[in-house]
Amino acid sequence: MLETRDLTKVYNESVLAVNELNLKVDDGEIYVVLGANGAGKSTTISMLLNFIEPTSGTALVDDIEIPKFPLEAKKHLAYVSENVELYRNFTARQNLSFFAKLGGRKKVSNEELDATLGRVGLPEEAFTRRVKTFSKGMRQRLGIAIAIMKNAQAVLLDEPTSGLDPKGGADFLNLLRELKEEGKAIFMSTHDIFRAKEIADRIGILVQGNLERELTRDEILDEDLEALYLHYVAGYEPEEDATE
Amino acid sequence: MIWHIIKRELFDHINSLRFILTFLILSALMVTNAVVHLQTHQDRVRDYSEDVTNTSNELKSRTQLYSLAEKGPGRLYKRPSSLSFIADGGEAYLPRRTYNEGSWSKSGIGGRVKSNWWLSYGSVNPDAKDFRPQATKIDWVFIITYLLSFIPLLFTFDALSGEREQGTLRLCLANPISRPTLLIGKFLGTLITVLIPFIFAVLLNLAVISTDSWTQLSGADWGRLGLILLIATSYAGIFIGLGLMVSAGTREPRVSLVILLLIWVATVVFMPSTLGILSTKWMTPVQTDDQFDASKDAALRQISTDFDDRMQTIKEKKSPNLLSMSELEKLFETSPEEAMAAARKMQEAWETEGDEEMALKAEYINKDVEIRERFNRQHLDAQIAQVQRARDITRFSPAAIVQYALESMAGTGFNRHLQFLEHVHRYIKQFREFIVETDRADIQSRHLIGIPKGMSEKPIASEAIPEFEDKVTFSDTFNTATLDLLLLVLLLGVFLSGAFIVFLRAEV
Repeated sequence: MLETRDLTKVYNESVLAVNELNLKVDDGEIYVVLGANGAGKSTTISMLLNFIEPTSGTALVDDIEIPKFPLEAKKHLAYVSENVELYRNFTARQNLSFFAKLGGRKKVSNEELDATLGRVGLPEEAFTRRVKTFSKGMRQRLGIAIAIMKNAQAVLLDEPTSGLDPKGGADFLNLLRELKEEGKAIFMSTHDIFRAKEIADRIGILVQGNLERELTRDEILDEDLEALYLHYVAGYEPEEDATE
Repeated sequence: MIWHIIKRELFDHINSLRFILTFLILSALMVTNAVVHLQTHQDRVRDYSEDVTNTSNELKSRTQLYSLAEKGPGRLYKRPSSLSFIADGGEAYLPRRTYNEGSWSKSGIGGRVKSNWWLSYGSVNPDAKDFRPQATKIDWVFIITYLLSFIPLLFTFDALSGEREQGTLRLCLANPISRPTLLIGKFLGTLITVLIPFIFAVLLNLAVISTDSWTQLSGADWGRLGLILLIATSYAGIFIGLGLMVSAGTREPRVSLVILLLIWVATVVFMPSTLGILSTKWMTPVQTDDQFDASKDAALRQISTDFDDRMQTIKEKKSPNLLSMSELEKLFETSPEEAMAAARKMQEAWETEGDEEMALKAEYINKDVEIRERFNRQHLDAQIAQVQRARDITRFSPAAIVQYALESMAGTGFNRHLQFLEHVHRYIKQFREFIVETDRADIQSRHLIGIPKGMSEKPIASEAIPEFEDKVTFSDTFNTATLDLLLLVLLLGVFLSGAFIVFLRAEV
């Protein structure tokens, strides 16, 4: 379970990036946060990973306070970034093995590595290929393999579908569904409202650091998410019916 | 955990082109150094042995105590270091021996007075016949100073900025690993990467050198070699720390590369060669040779006049009716025969040497030696002080510090020369004490050191004469290198701490 309590970040004592953010992602739930560039999505993820200290408030993973016990908390967190570059001179297997060990795994067998790489849809010939020859979609799959391998309870994804082709995007969402099935708490930031609508159990709309609206699965299905997003993010109002 | 990071760094570096180039360049330079050493060291050692043997034979040939006091111990030679391949130390610009001087004599009212020897240090560069710039000496100092500073920067400029740019830094730190652990892992990984080709090149160098029978390394030499490797490691560590610090503070690898190259040129290339020269502008100039000679001659004239006056008084007291020179000249014009008789009487009186005259002569001769040596020493000390100040100022550069430390440990260069001079001074004291003690043991001697009739005439056993030994122990070299070793450790601490502070504050 992932939770933020009045999580706030102010840069240089004047720029409010995230303002008293309160949200909760339960196990087996996918929470998608939508927002324009600069809305505070990445800052929130950075605070959840303790890359930056919150100005006030706190965040918890499995009831462990992240700012106070960052190393312990990170054992429960996996992260997939927007552009998973990885170590270009390493093969997929070597990258996966390295990050698994960094995540705390003592021994990892090649069979386990290959099984994980296969699960995310990487072709077998790519296991021993250097990552610098990979396409973005393949690197993204490898990124999710790293998150799977860590077997953390919460998974943070920072704009993971940007730049993926439709098939790559669809495959990626399937992988997320699998993780959800396994009971992971998944927190994903994106501005891809269509994929958000497809996968999210709940959606939060972040505007200038404030969580302006939170939608449940039913609301997501009922409402015109695109119009809602444009309303909050860009200030567009839906056109009124001329006959009225 | 840290081991995984070290392993990853190693793997990444070892598979890079820069590692292969490092390997090739270091190996080539070290082999070149060894080959050049084999060609030159033999001559150096042979020349030294011959010179020392000649001096020793000459010394042993003196069987009279006075001849020892008059001629001294001969030229004293600096022993060439068996580790000179590590640090050339600019030995070509430093005297390789001291001189015995003592060649004046004067005749006058007290009869003939002949000088005793005195110690002279020679000019700064008595052996160099050609002052044209030499080709760069490819010794370990050159290799370590330039390459073990440049190579670490090549391996670290993108260590953090590159990882930040490609996103792997965030991915790493999303795991239960602290920033200090990551930084230490990167530091150690890079250090091992740099040391692998360096140690290989060192072994290659030593393997070639071990074929030379003229280079025999003692246990102490191996100890010094071990410390030299530690110094090289610390020096490389300083630049790894610097590279990580700049890399942690910049967002793009090319920016950190440019910054690091500028720092490298300033600290390794520019500062050591230029700071020393610039610093002399603010120093009180050392006396020129002419000024030095003039002040020394004035002091010597003073004791000479004093000697003449006192001798005149003694002679007048002993022979009160002697004519002065002007009176003798006048008498010669009027009565040459009487003048000749008076002159004979004068000469007789002058040449009559009693205890009082001998004591005065001995005092004069010893004072002459004392003044000459005092002035020589003062001049030398002023030169040394100036060099020391210039060296202190260049210590702003880690390259200068490592050069001084390596020279000290290898037993070459300026500090080694100071040790040689210290050994010379200690020996000279021992040599003079030997003369005094030997003379004192003879009850028939007048104990007036410095004049033939005033000293023991008993023959001396050649094996009893102390011989000069310019031996450098491990502790001698270590002690002279202590300051530079401490400075290196301090710099290592400063740059590593800097890297930590910048990385802890940096965005990932």
